[in-house]
Amino acid sequence: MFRWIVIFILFINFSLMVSAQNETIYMSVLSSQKHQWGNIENPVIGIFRSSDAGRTWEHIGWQGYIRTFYTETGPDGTIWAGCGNGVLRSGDNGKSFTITTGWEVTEALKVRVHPYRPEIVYAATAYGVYKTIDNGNTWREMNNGLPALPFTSDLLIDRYDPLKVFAATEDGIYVSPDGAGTWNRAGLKGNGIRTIVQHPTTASVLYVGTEENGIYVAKDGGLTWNQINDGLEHLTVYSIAINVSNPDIVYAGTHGGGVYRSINGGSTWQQVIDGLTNLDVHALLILPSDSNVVFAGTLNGGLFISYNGGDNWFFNSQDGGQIWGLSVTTAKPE
Amino acid sequence: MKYLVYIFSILLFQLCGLTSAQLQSSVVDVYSEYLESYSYRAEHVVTAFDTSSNLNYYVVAAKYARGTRIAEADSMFLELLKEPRGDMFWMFPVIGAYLHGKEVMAPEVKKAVRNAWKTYAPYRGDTENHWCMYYVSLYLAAEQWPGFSGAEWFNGKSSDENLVESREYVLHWVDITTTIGQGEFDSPDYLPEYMIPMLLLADFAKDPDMRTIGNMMADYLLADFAVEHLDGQYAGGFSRITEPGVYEPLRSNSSAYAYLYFGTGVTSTSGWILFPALSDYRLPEILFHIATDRDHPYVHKERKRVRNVIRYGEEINPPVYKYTYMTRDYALGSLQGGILQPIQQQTWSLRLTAGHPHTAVFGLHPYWSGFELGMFFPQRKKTLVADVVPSKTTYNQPGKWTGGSPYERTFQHENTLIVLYDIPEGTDSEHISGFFPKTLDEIIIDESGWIAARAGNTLIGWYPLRKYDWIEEEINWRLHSPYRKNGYVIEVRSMDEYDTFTEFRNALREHIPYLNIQGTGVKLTYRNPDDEHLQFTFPDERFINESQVNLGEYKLFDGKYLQADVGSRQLTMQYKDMKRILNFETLEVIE
Repeated sequence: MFRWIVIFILFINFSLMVSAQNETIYMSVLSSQKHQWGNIENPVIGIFRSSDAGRTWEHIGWQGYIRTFYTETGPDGTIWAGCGNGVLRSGDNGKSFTITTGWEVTEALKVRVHPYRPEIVYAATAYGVYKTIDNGNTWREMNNGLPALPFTSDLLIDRYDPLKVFAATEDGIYVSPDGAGTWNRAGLKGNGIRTIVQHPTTASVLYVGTEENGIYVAKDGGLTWNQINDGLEHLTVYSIAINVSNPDIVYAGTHGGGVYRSINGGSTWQQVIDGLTNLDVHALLILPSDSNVVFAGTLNGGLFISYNGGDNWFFNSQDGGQIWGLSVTTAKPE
Repeated sequence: MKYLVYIFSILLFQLCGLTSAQLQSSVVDVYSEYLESYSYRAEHVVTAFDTSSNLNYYVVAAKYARGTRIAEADSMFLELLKEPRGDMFWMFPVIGAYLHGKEVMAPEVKKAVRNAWKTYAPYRGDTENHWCMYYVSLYLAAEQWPGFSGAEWFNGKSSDENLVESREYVLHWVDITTTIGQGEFDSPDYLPEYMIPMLLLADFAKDPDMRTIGNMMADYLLADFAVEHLDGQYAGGFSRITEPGVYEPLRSNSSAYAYLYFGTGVTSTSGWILFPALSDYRLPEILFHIATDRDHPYVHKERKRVRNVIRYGEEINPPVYKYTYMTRDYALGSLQGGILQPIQQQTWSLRLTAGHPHTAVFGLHPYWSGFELGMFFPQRKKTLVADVVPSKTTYNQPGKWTGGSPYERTFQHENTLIVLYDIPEGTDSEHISGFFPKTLDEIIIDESGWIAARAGNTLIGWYPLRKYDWIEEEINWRLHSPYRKNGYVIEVRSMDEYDTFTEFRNALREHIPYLNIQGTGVKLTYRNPDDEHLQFTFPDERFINESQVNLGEYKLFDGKYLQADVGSRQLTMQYKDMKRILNFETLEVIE
């Protein structure tokens, strides 16, 4: 009973607090068991946005089913989305979208916007890496040095050295020193990499989640990788999120095991799934303004929220939905 | 004597000339007759839609094309456009109906169609046929509404941008198809998804080159079908086939095309042939003959490509080798095996002209996995099976009748087919299945081990290499063999070659395959009734009379009717003294 009172108080505090924040969360709903492609019902999937920390969501696009994998906002407020139809851009805060890519670009799984130069955007696709340097007017394939089948699940732009880009491929990690112009192998050969994230304060610390082998960490900028699976019983890791306020707290979204949490930078892991009724967690997001608030996007179970750092989870929205991407921004359109 | 020879020669020459002229006249007559009967069939299809009150775009298109029920068509079109849905399956009938009716439709309907291309955002899809429909439709739409800004299109691109992008893709698709083959090749169910866009291009593209491409690709696709056409059925191995067409072939969509274009199979008023029936395109005479002349058996080989492999492989489009033996009464065809397409592949089949409606015999290893799906789809392999099953309900069923397997390989030589399996322990499904329709005239499990069957004039032998259960099901007998190292030999002959079914059985008894599964391999040695010595070691060592088969030598098309080299961008059709060359480099048709 005491626990529920605490949760209630946390929720009230959270509710009072969010109205004062300027955060916008973007959720990419790939598909839904209730709204599949071909369903006669009009599919309500795609890009959703919340400006009140997930209490309410606004569907901003696209008008139809185009398989939205991930949405991210650039520093100038431009919205970018990786989709089956290519890479979408909205420069008017989601009122309208343009497909910026041509027929060559498809299955864009992630988009990553340069942290300081909003006209530079990378796309991780099933056919490798694409890049625009002119706000999406033109795109170039950037697969020089990647494997013959350059399927790339994720990209990481080094915040402190944005020319340095990491690619999460089906055959390990690749790094580019020149903005994806050339790629070099950076370890974990043979591993399908699902996600790569950078420590919020120590740039040389990188975490990756893999398809079969759990989590690896590199503390030297990606030169050497060490497996850190102590306590992690589910080794397919789709997403990793690091608490900006306390970077020792790290979350991992797994296949079949829900959410794991580490309070020591990944040295040990503990499963935190109370209330999480779907255990295939594909996307994680920690609210920057309140690191106790964590979102977990599942595959076919919709979106869940925790108000106490993962101790308890509550269903939020998108019943039956595949939540492929979560991101947050404070940027507003110029 | 010298004079006699001279006179005899003149007479012979005149006789030959007469015969040739008569023959030519006869062929011409056949084609005239064909065109007449085609018109009748097309008319029949169009009438069915023109007179229908069903609310769909095909009905709208037919009414516009006929021009007698314009107001009704207008009203239906407006109603349908209130709630667009279906993505690329929406795009092509909408632009098709518009193009057939734009000269007669009411202004508000035109406005509604235009508005739909602004407000409804269709998914581009994730298969070759989706993209073909999407980009051809977008191309035609962009031609119809030139000069519009991005704000007037669903994708934010201007008319010019849409025109350029869609044209580029169509040209790319033509190029890849005519150099390394289609990925969704020879599909009894997905032929229309290519044919309709090509015919819409042929009929309505403003750019003359695109019209030519539409016409030439329609020829190309129908040539591909014609050469493996058996009495209304698509024959051989297939990239994609669905139930019930897999065991009831005339229910596949391509059979509607066989009806319309070849005059075979069963009468159809399928929506999939409405646009073809409205089209000005006519099947070239040579293709009519290729589709229907089965007087002499022939071997036809093809090279296609695997659908885009995005991961878990070595290259994006490995080759597919297809071998088909065509006769008047049956067609036996196979792909080399392995995963060549997800979900709906049929690696081999025997198609029959007798025993309707279930005119197919085939076997498979019922395989499914996230690995297979992950090769072709970008989602997560551990959840992909669950993602696929709601729409492809039999995908993970042990009793299913479609799908390829990485643990299955074939070796075909004329009318002998060997299929071997080497299934690892722990695979979700460790058995193999064989489908024998109950519509076979006779079926006997011989003490020699051969299962012998007859369907009309076709004699079938199936030698299971391991023990099996023989299970009666509603429309068929199922051969169920639970051994992981497994296989069978298929022999198919005609009653022209054996006087009686008994004689065929006696011949089979004298030819028992030898399977060697000692150690880790699976190897078969066999001398067939034609005294050919065949050796097959799983997965890819094939010998005929001690000479190794090199599948890598396969051309895009290689047979007496069709010839095309890999990379050639050219297809040569040949029938007796008729020839037709499609040259996609120059966009010329040479006859």
